[in-house]
Amino acid sequence: MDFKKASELGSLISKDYAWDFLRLLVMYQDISASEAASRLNLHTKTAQDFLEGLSDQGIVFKKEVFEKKRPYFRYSLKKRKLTVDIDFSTLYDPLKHRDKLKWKIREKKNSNAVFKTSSRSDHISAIHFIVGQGRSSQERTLNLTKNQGKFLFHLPFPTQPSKNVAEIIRKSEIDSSFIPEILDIIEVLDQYQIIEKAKS
Amino acid sequence: MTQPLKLKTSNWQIIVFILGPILFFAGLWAIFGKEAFRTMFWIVMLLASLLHLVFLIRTKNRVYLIPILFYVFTALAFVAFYPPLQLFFGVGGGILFILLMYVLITNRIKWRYSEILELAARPVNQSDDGFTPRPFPAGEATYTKEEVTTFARFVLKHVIAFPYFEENRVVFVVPERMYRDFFSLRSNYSNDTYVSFGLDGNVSVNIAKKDYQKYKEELTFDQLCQSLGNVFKEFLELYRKGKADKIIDRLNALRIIS
Repeated sequence: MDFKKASELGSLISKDYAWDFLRLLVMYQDISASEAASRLNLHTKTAQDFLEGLSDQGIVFKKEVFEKKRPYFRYSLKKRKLTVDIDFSTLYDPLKHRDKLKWKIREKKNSNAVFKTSSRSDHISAIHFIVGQGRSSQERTLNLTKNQGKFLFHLPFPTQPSKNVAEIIRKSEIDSSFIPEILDIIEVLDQYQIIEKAKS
Repeated sequence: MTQPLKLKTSNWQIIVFILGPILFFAGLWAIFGKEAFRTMFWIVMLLASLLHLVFLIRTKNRVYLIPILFYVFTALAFVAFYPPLQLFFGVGGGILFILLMYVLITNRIKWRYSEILELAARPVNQSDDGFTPRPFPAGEATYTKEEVTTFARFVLKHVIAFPYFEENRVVFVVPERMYRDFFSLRSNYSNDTYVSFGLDGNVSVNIAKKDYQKYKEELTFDQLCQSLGNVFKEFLELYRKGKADKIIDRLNALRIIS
């Protein structure tokens, strides 16, 4: 199950009436939105949306029926057990970010970012910077992991030649398993113009 | 030919340092009379001697005995009512004053903040600014824990910098005034100028913005940091080779008064 579908399912079954609604579906062979709404004292539109959501998730069958009146849908439970299987590793694809290792970076001159060091070492523990301008400006603080701090300690100064990210990682003696978190902080620093990439 | 200083000159501080006490005591005499002046004078002298006693204890530099004795003798000269004793302390104070002037002129107890900043700036010829408030990795050096520890004692004795001993490094803080350090009131020096010698051989440098602003020009910051690191590395090397006198000679050769 992909993350989007899982989060939609999560929001569906976290509704106040979800427990009662699903209990009805277990008890009844099939049920229409208006029947469920009247039973649970909900608005028909609310019941309709919930059932449509379950249908989209493949939890219920949807069958169109024709009686004297206009056609409508009846819903029945498709499965009585549901296993949610989410692969979080799909949220980040390291291959997509590999090119960032070749970025040549250094701290941007007059970035106005304030680097805080931890009390007993030179590693950077946090960065403070201002987002926005004028009255709407806000101070943001990024608390860094130990490896991010080590990386930023070796980030070239604004007047030094830029170095590529892989080289800085090597100099900082950071294990390759920490590369994703380093690339993440680089992305944020680039976004807030605290670092600059060399023109190639 | 002497090289022009890269630090801004601050003569007003010397003027305030000399004229301030004179004006204070003259005003005291004029407003409250001779007795108030006498009382305040010996109290100030006694406090000054206690201050220097702390310096002596912390630095273990016996030269501080001269200012201590001078202040004590001068204070006693003002409180002793028995004329021969007053004369004894007065003459003694006079002799100690001459010795104190010698100590001051020969920079024996001078805090070397300005000299260190000036020495760091000497090799930097570019002014490209680039200040950033974070430590600079100034490379590696070869030394043992024992060597850097004894070097730290030497540096403190000659008030070149104030060393702080940590688990994994020795940090040489270069403050403009060392009072907070002598009285252990500095809780954090991450915003001050310092050079740290890691026990793994890594040297890093931090230059505070207030100190960077003391230069006439906006010197290229990474070069300045590297140079400050080199100054301390060279000092350590000279100390290891038993040439500690050359460190003092280098500092004195700058002839900075403030």
